[in-house]
Amino acid sequence: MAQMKFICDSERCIECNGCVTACKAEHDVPWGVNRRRVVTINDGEVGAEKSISVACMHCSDAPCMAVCPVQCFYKTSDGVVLHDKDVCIGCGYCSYACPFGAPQFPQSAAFGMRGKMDKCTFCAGGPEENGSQAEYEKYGRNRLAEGKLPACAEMCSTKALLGGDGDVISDIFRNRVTVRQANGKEAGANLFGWGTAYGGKPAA
Amino acid sequence: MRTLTWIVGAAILALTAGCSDAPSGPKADQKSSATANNNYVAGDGKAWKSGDDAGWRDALKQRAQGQDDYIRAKPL
Repeated sequence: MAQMKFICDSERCIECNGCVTACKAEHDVPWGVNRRRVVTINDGEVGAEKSISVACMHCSDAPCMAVCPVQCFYKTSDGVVLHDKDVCIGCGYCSYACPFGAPQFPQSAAFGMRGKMDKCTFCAGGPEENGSQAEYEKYGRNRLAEGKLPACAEMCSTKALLGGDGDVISDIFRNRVTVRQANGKEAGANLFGWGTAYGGKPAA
Repeated sequence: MRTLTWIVGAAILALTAGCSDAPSGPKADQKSSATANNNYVAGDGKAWKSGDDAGWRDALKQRAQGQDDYIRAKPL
């Protein structure tokens, strides 16, 4: 059974924001909503500046699903966390629960009134008919049902962002790590950005 | 006394009726292997038949290999 996942390789991401642009264009995401964004740390420090592309990580045990008071979330058999905008009440609990800041809320009216939650769908649409106009208008394109992978990953120029079946993309990433190790670069958790994030090697 | 009991019982039922409503939950979704109803399906929809989970997974796995530079850069 395929379990869809994203991996972002911080050693390859060049902060071009191609993934953000691809997502916005593919789904006609409204102004003010960013389903995906690139986060950069250590700006300007040569050799230490690292970027990573972040969106909904389609968690195996998703906190947004756990806190939703109207149970608008569901998980597909491919491990993609989706939600039904007809059920969502726009309360914002999911945005407090999400560690990645994935849930977004469009401004729907005056006085900052917010609309229904919007987030990355792994390009899998929503609970409308696959590829229908209704699905497109609410959730964007359903690329998975078109036999394609998420637009962000497919458009990534350096292939820093990988998307697809977890087994397949982890094999691709593992191969990269092996090659880097063969070329004298440190392998292991540091390649996942541990040292950058926590300032040292993980405890053995 | 009996009338009072009935009245209190009816009032409790009426007051708690709203609380017992089960959340509606999301609508049922189609599987991703159900081919999209549009003209953008990869390979003109010949890679798998609509609803064929295994065929769809294989098609996506094949496509995911396009993200592997080491496969793409292999000499022909």
